[in-house]
Parts: sequence; structure tokens; C-alpha cells
Amino acid sequence: MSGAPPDPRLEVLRRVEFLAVLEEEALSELCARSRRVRYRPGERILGELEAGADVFVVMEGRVEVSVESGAGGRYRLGELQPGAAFGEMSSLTGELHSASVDAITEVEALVIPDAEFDRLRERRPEVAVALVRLLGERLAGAERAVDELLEDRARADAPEPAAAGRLRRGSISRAWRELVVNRRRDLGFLAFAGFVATLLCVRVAVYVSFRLGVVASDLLRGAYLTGFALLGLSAASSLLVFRDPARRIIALAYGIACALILNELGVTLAFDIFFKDIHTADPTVPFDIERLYRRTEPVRAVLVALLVLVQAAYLRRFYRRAGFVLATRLRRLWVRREG
Amino acid sequence: MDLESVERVLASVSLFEQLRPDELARIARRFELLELREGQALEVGAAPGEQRLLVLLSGGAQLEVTLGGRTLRSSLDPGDRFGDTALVSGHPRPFRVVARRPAVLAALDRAGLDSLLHDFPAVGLPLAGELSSELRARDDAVRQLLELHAERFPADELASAVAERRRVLSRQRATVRRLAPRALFRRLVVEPEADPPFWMLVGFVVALGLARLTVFLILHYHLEAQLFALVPGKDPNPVHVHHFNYGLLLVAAAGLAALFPLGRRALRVLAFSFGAGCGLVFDEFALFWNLNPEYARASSLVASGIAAAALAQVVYFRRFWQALARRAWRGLRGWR
Repeated sequence: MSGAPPDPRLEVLRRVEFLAVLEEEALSELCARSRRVRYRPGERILGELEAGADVFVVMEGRVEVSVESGAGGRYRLGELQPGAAFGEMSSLTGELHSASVDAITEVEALVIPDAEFDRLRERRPEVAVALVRLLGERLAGAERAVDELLEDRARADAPEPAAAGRLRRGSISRAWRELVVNRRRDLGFLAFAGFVATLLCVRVAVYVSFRLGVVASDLLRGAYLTGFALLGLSAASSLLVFRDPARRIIALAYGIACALILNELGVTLAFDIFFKDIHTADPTVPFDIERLYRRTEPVRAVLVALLVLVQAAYLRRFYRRAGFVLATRLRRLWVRREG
Repeated sequence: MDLESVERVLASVSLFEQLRPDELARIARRFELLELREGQALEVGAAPGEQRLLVLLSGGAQLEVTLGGRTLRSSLDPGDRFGDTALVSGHPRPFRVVARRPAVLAALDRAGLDSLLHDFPAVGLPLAGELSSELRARDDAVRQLLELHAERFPADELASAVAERRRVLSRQRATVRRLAPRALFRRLVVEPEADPPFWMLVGFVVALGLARLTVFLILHYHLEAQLFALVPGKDPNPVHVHHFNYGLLLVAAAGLAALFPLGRRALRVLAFSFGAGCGLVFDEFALFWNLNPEYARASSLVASGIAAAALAQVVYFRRFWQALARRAWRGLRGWR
């Protein structure tokens, strides 16, 4: 028998319910094939709705599990201590993460790569059996929670939704604070701000280029093509990336893209007024990009976009509630009619 | 019913797919065979500890699950199964099976399942995956219900919304597990369908195909004047609203909606809309790239092909590219 002290990391891994069935050698191998990552307090370890199937084991420190509500608030679901694991359900199903996990203190986590966890389950199916038992217990708990909530009892302990967006009477500086400063992290506001700022810059740049007699066609073409690319990238990223700082950049990029496209909607919408059909340019009407740029369509489109973005930035909560009430009333009407 | 027939049906059940024929033969013996005459009913799980997993081996039957005073019915065909979630969780969820014609069922109780998992732990692999999906659905329901309560809606609105959630949950709880899908179909469709990029790819391909077909038919039958969106104005030629504009609108709407909190299902719908929008935009790539309305230019097809290939890489080969990127990043850091 060797006198070497037991590896504290293995002691922590042994506390993970579905890894407890493994012997020391297998746990050591798993440790060697996994990476150790440190997180600072407040740092996000994984984000809700993000793809990713690695399994995390808390080795040191504490983490918080939370979900974002539709109204923009955040619910705390619980706290995990060393020996707790998360991410195993995404590894099993390939589904997106259903909650966010943030470090409360300095955290060290062992990250078991998805492929390694797959291999472990296949080589050691007793891990899968332990998972079945664990999931069975969690499922029973979730079923009980669902049944209780369906009982429709008043939930006095339910957290108050965030009070963002509530305006008070007061000075211009207070309005500025409420409408701009307090919302500088709000994604709807950032999209709106990106839109307005870009629109102003591009309009000035194009105006100057026309005044100076510089050929603006390359500038205009470059701007709307950048807008198309940026819109595609930002919209795709908003469906795939769920980290807060990255999403703020995405929202800003989205606003910029919309401004670039809509400012030149006349160009992309009406360019073929200079063509007789889809094969022949009309010789009686010479192609004139400045004429396209000065059409009225972009002004109308910009106004509509401004209206939509202002609603998204400031009246989201109102529309959410109104939509909910309308939907439930319609549903009730429908059920009554069917009944 | 002979044991070989039982093995044959069990081999098509996703839980037992990975087992060898000799293991299937041993598993088949652990199931209790129940024969039902036409119209005969079997009550399962009415009392605690009486939960069972049932697999229909032959004949036809109807499953009846009563939840919240409402009875949901589904048909059962050979190879279909029900009751495994309640069996593993131990949460009472009674159901009834009524034979539509003479039927044979294979039944397994909790003790049988425990001994089966002990002797054939490989069964735990697919079972853990299925339970995870079930648990996710329940977790989502808990979250939605918590949100409903926290929003403090008027009592009657809240009651109506909770009733709607109850209906959805009842449908989920009464879902029958069907025969295992074929391996290729599972690899290409079932496994990646949880991921938004899969729905982007589906939307892209569907929209691109439909747009190509529609434009081809319009040009072939010379229906341009009737079906193209032509807006007359002061200009000698009308403004033609090309479908890449509708595509941009779809992409913009999906992108804006995705910036705000969503559920997984809504995310898939938005991913599909985004893909469909991209399909419409790429179908007319040459038009806005060259500011020339000629539809038949090859660059649209080339750009669409590149976009579809890129999406397919994300859907089916993401792990490979991620590993490659990680290795390249490590190499770069080492070099520096």
C-alpha cells in the first residue's frame, strides 16, 4: 500500500453522483483528459440557450444557477458547491443549456469535454445507469413542482419582476438618465442607438461626397453590402450567442446594419427602373445612382424602423403584457365557442 | 406469441437497439407477456409502485391518459411503448390501454427494470438521453409557470394561462414513444434538430427551393405582369420589389426578436425564419451584388451553395471545426 496522500481532486469527483461508480484509476484518467478552468467572481461559466455539451464539475468555490424571465428579470434557481456537476443534460441530448451558471466566488471547474463524456458512458455504461437514477429523481421532483404550480395557488414568494422602464416625473437630466443612461445595457436601446448614430454618420458622409462631386456609387454599394453582411451576421449571432457583453455588441451591430440598409433602400429597391426587362438596360434612361439614393422610399422605411426600434427599446414590457392578455382572452373565447 | 417474435419487436425499440441478439433473447424473457382480447382494457399505475413499462408486440391498442379531468387518447402500434418515465421517476401517472383488436403487450415493472439495468447497463445510455429530454420539458414548464405567477396577471387571465399550460403538459405526458428511427435519419435529422443551425439550414433550403421553383414557373409561363410585385410610379419602368427584400425583412425580424428572452421552441421558429430569409436573399445575390436584375446569373447559385455548405458544416461538423480551431489557437499561442 503506498503512503501517497489521496488526490483531493478525486475526492471531489467521487462526490458527483454519476461518477461515484468509477474506481480511482478511471477517475484519474478522466481528470487527465479534462481541463481545469478558473473563473473570477461574477464570471459567466455557461449561458442559458447557448449550445455546448461539455460537462462541468465544481472543484472549488460556489456557483449560481439562474434563468432569465421573459420580462427581462432573472430568477435564481440555486447554488452549487464543490462536488456538484452541471451540463450533463446537454451532453445527453445535444439540447441548448436551459439555465445560466455564474461564478459567485473564485471557482475552479473541471471541464469534461463532451466527446470524453460520451466515450465514458459508452465504455462504462454504469455511469449511464447512475445518470438514469439521478434523472429519475430529478424528474419526480420536477413532476411534483409542475403539479403544485398547476394547482394555481397564490405564490407570495414569487420574485417581483424588474422595474426597468418605469418613468418618473422630473427634470431633463432625470429623463436623460431614465431614457438613456439607465438603458445603456439594454439590447433594444443599443440597437436603436446604433441605428440612429449610423444613420446620421452615413447621411453626412454621402451628402459630403455628393457636394464634393466624388463618385458615391462605390461608397453606396459598399455601405449597403456591409449592411447586408452585418445584418446576416448579427441576426445569426443573436440566435446563437447568449453572453451579455457579446449580445450588446450584436445589438449594436444589428442597429448599424439596419441603418446602412434602410438609408439606401432606394438604391436596392428601385435599381431596375433603368432596365427594360431582366436582360436589357433601357438606353432611354441612363443609370443614375444619385437619383436612386434621393428617392422617398428610404425616408418612409427609416421612419417605420425608428418606430419599431423605439417600441422595442421602451415599450417591450407593455406589449408583452398586452399580448399575453389578448392571447389568453382569445383562447378563452375559442374554448368557450368550442365548448 | 413465441420468443423470437418478441425479440424481433424489442430489437426495434430504441432502448434495446444497441444489444446483441443473444442479449435481446435474455431480455425478452424478463418481460411479462399480457394478452388482451378486442375491447379489453388494462389499467396501469393506478396505485403507487404499480407503474409499468408497456411495449405493444402485436395487434393494435389505444392508450388513454386522464390528466386534469381530460382524457387524451393515442393509438399504439407494434413497437410503440409507454410508461418508462413514470416507471423510472416513481411519480404516479396512471394510464389505460384498450385493445382495438387482439393484442399482445410486453410489461416490465420497477424491479424488472432495476435488474435489467444492472445486468445490461448499455440500456442506460438511450434511457438517460430520453429522460433528459423529458426533464428538460418539465423544467421548461416549471419555469413558464413560475414566470406566469411572478408576472402578477389578473386572476382570471392567470387561471386561463395555467389551464393552457396544463393542456400542453398533458399532451407531453401522454406522448407515446414510437419505433426507433433509422440510423441515418437519426444522424441527419433527429440528433441535430435541437440546435438552431439545423433549423436555419432547413429554412434556407426550403426557401431557396421554393423561390427558384416559383420564379422558374413565372418566367416559363410568362406571368411576370400578373405575379411580380411591380409598383408603378413616375419612372418609365415600374419598381420591382424583388424577393430578397422580403428575405431581408425576415432576417431583420428574426434578429430583433432573438435579442430578447426566448424559449427553446421560439428560438427554433426564429432560426427557421432566419434561414428562410437568407434563402430568399441568397437566391437573388447577383441582383444586389451587381445592381443588375438578371436572375439567371451563376453567382447567385454559387453564393447560395457556399452559404448552404457553411450552414451544413455548422450543423453536422461543428465539433470537428471547433477542435481544429482550438488546436490552431493553442498552436498560435505556443508559437508566439
